[in-house]
Amino acid sequence: MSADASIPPSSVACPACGFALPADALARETDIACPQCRVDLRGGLFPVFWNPSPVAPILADHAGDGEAVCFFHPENRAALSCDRCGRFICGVCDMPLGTRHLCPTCLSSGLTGEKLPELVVRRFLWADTALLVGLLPLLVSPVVWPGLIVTGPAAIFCALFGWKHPGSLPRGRRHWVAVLGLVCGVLQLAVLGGFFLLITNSSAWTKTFR
Amino acid sequence: MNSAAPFYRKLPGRGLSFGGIGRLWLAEDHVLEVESLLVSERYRRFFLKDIAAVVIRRTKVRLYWNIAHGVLGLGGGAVTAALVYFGDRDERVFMYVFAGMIGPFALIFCVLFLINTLLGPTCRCHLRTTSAGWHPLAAPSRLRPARRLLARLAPLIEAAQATGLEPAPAPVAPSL
Repeated sequence: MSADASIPPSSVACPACGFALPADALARETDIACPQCRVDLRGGLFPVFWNPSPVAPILADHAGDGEAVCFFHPENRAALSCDRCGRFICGVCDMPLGTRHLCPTCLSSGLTGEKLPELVVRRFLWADTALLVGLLPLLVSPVVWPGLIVTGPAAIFCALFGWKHPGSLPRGRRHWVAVLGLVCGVLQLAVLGGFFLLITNSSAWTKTFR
Repeated sequence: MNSAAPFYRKLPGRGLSFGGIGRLWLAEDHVLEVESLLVSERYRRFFLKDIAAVVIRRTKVRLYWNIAHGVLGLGGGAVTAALVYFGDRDERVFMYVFAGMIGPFALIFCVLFLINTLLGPTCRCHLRTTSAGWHPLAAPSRLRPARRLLARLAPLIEAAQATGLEPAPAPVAPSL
């Protein structure tokens, strides 16, 4: 990554050793060997590699009479409207996000409240937690059965609490996983009850036969 | 006021690292890298119009895993066979029990060796963006899906960069 600074523009740095490979040597269909580290490489270079778009200065024109103005800068002419709230915004306030253009307010509200899926960087999966906490102790219940008093309710809690929470970003909300976790949690409590019954009954039997 | 989540399609290949299980997903205008660690997911987005290069680097991870699995599998198998065939007759029961404990583990490692060999050579994918240099991707970690990934992504990236993919700004109505 840092090796890129000394690489000529028509070259591409070997990801393994940083050696400057001639960019046109890289092919999509055949492997090439890096002359320095001998690692086989294959890849593709795309138009922005050859023509990186220059950083354009942010411009905002002064609004004339009768022209729509920016919501945040009344002196600037509106260049476009926010794709989320519809407010007119100027070039200064335009926050491009992928293919969408947002105003600063929508962008900041999306950052704080996870309202914009494009800004989510991490998700906790409640349904998967319910399944994990529900299933794993159930499988080893003969060994860890006293612990089921904690894991059983925990699995039920995770399944119910996470019911309305957003799930995985690409896979979406998976209620069946939460239901499975819930069932496992209930089963854990049943197993726990069974163990208690077994212990109490066996002690009663021992007393009877003594 | 929530925005609808983009529709994602799976891209070929998976990867396993210390960060978790990696997977790539394709949206209309970006590639989403997901690293799942049991109950949480981390996301990174690479917009198609920003991807300057994708490079697949062949690695020797399969060889190292094969050596480890092979040594444990074949070594365990050899010990099991030696215990069964050349064990002391007086201690035969003990030998069988010992062989019965080692044998299944040796078999598991032999199966892992076979799976690792059949999955094909390993690789590491690197993606270069216009803004931030090279990013090692969490997936795919095998060469065959990586090549399929490149073949699938290349036309999409070229199309996105040819058109710019930027929709024309919404026309602004003049104020009254």
